Amino acid sequence: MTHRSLIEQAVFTSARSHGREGYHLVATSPGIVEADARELALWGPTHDSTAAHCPVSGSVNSHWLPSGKCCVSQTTADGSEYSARGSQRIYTQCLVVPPSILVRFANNPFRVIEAASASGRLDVFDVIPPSLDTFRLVGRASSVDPGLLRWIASEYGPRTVAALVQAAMSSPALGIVQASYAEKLLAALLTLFPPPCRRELTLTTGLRFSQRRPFRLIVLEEDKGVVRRFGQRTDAAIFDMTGGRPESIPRFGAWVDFVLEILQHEHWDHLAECYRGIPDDTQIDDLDRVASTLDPAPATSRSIGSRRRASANSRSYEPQRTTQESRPRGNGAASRGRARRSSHASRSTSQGNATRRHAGRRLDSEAAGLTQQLDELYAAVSDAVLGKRDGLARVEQLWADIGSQLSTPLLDESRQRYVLHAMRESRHGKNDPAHETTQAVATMKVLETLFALGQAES
Amino acid sequence: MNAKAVLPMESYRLAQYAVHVPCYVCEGGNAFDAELCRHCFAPMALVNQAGQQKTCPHLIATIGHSGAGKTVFLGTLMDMLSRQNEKMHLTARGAFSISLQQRTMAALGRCEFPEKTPGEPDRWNWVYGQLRMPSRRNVFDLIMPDMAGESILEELDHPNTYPVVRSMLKKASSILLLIDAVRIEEGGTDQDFFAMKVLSYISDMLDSSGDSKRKRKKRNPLVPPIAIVFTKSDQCDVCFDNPGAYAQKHTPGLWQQCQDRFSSHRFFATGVAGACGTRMVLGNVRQRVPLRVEPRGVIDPFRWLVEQTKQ
Repeated sequence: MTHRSLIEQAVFTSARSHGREGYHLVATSPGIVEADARELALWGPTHDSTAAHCPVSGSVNSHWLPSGKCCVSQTTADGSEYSARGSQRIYTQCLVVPPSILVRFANNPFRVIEAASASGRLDVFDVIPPSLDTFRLVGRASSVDPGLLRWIASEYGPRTVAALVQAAMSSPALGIVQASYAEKLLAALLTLFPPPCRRELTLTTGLRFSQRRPFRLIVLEEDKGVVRRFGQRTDAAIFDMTGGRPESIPRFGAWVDFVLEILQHEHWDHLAECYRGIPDDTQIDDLDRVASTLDPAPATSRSIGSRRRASANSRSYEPQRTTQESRPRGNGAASRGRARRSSHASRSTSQGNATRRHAGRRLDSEAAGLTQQLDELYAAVSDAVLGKRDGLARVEQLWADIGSQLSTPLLDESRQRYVLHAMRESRHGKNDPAHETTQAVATMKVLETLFALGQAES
Repeated sequence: MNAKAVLPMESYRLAQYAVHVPCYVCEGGNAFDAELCRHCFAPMALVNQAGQQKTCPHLIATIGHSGAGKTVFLGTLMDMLSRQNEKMHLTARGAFSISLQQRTMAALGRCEFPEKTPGEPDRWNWVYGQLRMPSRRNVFDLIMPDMAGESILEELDHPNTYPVVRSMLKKASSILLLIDAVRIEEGGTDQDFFAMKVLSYISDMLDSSGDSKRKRKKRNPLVPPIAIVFTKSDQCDVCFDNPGAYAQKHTPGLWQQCQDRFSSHRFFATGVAGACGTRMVLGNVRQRVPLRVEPRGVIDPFRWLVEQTKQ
């Protein structure tokens, strides 16, 4: 057996042991290196670290270590703290899992915890031994859990789940406000990402938010103070699932569209089939591009009518979506990024309906070319905000071309969409002061370009 | 017909984020609306409070092993200083400064000790206070955090693990070093070794900064005054008679290090709970409880530190 097939473990809790007291790494197995041990101590949850919604079974957490291994841990409030101050002891059993073993479990920490628990490796020690064993973990897991997906689709609705996936994709840190079923929710959410992408989703189901533990996915308590403090992170987003359908549905990218159709039509086996074809080095940022090569419907049920029906259904929930969804997919330029046409009015007003009908007649004749230009402009705005060299020049050129083809109401509508897109992109910058200033300047230049055309016309 | 639309320009809001506010403890840059410093997790409210005062506040670091009694000592100290008017009176500034005092006194009022301090710095209690004394014309502003013992020890063993601890010790005007007298009476040496680690850490930090010639001088302004406080001395009365002699006998390493490296130091003994007992709570959980609240010698080390800092 090589070390790559063995799992190391450690216990982080409050104890009095060989010169140390309080919360520390009480015991480790021989294969844990010093750098990993220090990282485990940094991430280790101390007194009162479990959130109010954390169940008795504990919190499942996962994050990466300097050695390249993944720490999959379970935190429970078990027993009394050694100093007899009446508080419960927070006990964390850490499994240090090599990537090669994690792949067997479809990069899903929940499956690792299940397997370890079934093999008796997650029992809480009454008396913690000074040294722990290294062990083999047998078993494997499939990439898709149909039961979980069925549950989440029926519990929250496909649109809300799709919005959650979109939020997880676009946010470096996502706080999900949820009162119950935290573990089930995150497990289901993880299933909606291909296994290679799950490596990027560090998570915790039941630990309190702390800036020292920068998980990418965290279930937050229904506490305004906690939610506000989490939201103060410049890279954080919050998704509140306690009030039913979220107030605003974000624009969906190609991958989320794909997921939405899978959820709506329950093509679980097809999802697993699609996952098999996704390369191992795929990252979350690549998913929209990957989605362009996939078809959400399996071959047996594929039909243009079923796709159009699905698109129409999705439009009815999204007042801001446009009539452009029925265009064929598979066009690389058309399906890049969040390719939603902004040249059509919403359904919410009669004026919008008239405009949309007008837009529909106008665009039908030039659909392909204008669609491509709009796609390119969408991408160009993103590039310009992010400071890429030719981004602003492309925005200017494309905007001038498009402006000459659209009527004034449509131009105004388009401008509004692209301004919102630019503002949204500007919030996704790095947490770096110098970068934020540069991005702010780039955003203002983009806005200046978008409004300059309107001013010239007026 | 010209269609005009009024769209709120949100980009101007980004300009506010271009101005960075330095944390008072670690001086790292933060956004203007940050609640906690993103580097050391100290509250940014300290900057706001310090900005409103004419004098710079003094940082007083309270160091001690886990379970030494930092929270009880600081909370009781704050409560006593806020109530007395004759010699010294402390006024807490900012609502966040009341939390430590409130938590401690509420627990003691229920015949319980306060809960363990979490290890995460973003959950520590900080006190920003203004001290008024008849002997001083100006007020004495101070900042005192209640830090977790495990975090302090982790920083000592692995420097830069907890930047806030390092920054506090580096910038501290004075240091309160708490030693658990009960553990010493039990024969344990952990407290002595911990104290020696702390003093070595501080000394090394001072050696790495500043002029070496100045450091060897007595009353070196770079070396902060240190009050070594034996806590829980109500269960070890002999400590109250002569804390210095007690230290020389029971913590010789600490005593010697103080003599060698820190010219401005003094030993004190203090107690808050006159006596302690143990009770069983739900689930057969043992809980140590104070049988009464009888503060003794709590203010003396603090008064001495303030006088040393004034000099």
